[in-house]
Amino acid sequence: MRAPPAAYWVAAVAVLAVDLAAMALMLRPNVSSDYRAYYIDKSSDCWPHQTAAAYVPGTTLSFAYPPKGADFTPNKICGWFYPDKNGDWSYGRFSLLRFNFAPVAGDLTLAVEARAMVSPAHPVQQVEVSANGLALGTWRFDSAERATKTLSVPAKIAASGRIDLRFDYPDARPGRELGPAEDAHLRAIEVETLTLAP
Amino acid sequence: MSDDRPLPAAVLPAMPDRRERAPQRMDALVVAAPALFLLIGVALRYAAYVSINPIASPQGFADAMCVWDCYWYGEVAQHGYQAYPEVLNFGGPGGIANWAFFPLYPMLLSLAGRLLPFLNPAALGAIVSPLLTFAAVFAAWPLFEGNRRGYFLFGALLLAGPFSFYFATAYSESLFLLLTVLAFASLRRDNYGGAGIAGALLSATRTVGVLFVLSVLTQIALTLWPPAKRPLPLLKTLLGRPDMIFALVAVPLGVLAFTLWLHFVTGDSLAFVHIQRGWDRELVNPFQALWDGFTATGDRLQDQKWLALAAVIGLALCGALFATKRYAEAIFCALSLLLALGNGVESMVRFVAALAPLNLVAAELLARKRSLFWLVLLASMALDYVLTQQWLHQHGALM
Repeated sequence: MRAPPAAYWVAAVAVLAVDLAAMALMLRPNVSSDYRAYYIDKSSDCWPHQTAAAYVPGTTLSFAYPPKGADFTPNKICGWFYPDKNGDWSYGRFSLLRFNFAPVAGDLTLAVEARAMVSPAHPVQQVEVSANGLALGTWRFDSAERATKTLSVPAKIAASGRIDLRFDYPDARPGRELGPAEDAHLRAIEVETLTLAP
Repeated sequence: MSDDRPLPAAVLPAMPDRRERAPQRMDALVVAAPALFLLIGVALRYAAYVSINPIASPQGFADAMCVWDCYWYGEVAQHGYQAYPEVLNFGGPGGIANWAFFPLYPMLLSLAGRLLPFLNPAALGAIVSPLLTFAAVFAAWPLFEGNRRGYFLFGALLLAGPFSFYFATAYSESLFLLLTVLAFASLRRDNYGGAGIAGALLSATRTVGVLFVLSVLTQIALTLWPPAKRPLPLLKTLLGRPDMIFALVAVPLGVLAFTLWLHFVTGDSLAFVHIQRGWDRELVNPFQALWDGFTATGDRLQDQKWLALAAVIGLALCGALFATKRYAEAIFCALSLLLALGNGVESMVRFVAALAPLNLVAAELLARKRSLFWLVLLASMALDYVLTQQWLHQHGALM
């Protein structure tokens, strides 16, 4: 022993006090509900991206990487997997997108080009679309080939200059069903492009 | 008039005979050989860099070597820890933050940056890390108990060997290596105060550093059990050894101090654990991870076999540590590997390469025969060149 025993006792007690204080704080995280749900409880697959979400109505956004035109990343909030050359798969039970734009008079037309994760056992993927909390309709994707779906966005939402678009996926399936090398998270559709046109 | 008569033999300083002089010459080699390997390693890695970058420069070399986690360590060194996970992981679903990168190495980089403010983190790492590795090799000399060939091979493996690039850029591996050596050297000398301090620093360097507390516990049991033979007398004896108790409570201090800091910066003491979700890492059965690695199919997963093989070699070397009665080291290394495998086989080459006791026992085994020693020495240096090229190309198996 290099130091006197009393010095070790004093040091040990002081260090133990710090250890215990630090351990006590581990049990009391002071975080947002989004953070807790995504990172701690893992009860949500939505980690909201902080973004200005600027958008010019009529622009077609590319969900592919590298983007084939205007990139959708500035409008992405959550619920999207890693983009690839074909587009971007949904991730989890729902996806969110945000669009901030100069208010538009009249309806907007929402158009999405996407393919679905379907199989003989699960031949349909339904996508429930809502904007600013208002249900717009439900799309049915029944092919792994690309298809275009459209819906109308009411004028009162278009006039607000902000759209929080939500896609819910009641039929989402684990990605492993695409092949053993794929990620296990839930998927429903792979979006290639999206347009909100006046 | 001078007296030309020879002095009596008893007055003359004794001329050391060959056996006495040999250790002195070798002692100089204990420093000189690692210094030589350090220079050879730098030259080999620079040559590898030049081979794929015709327009070469020292700064370009440091920047080219700084791949993957190097960016994060530099970021922590320059800006500290983020308050919020914002950067999306290559456009993926989760926000990522720099909390996964333990603080001691970036603190050291930051300190070096104050001394050399004209260098960027990549260049600082290219200077600091090899020096830490050199110190680790030198500090390991007592652990070889006079086995010079083993010691030289240990130095060659770390400073100019196949995976020396991990210890030559802004990665925490070099510091982890040094602190592991210092911690086990202290334990070997029955210096629990030193082991506690080195262990605390170790647990502030990488997640698995805190596992050194189990090595301390093992060593205490090995020391106190034979005379005590029963738990109660052992506990009584332990109360008479406050240095041992200090070591046990001091080792976790490094990681716990980090959790305190994270709590004040982010509100979440365990942010370094929780942020793993941003990289899509989830806990898996380590043995299942090994099996999945070996049975993975498809081009994208070919690296997994190499990573799984590295893990198996690492675990086999843990067995060799156990067989040579280095129980404290064996437990530390085996649990470090199993904990890492709990996140899958990713980065296993690096994790195995950075465990000093595994390098030590591998060097001892490979240096048993002189011919094998020379063969491994030369092959290591050749592989340093080849694998550094792969590192510069960011080959996934080396991540």
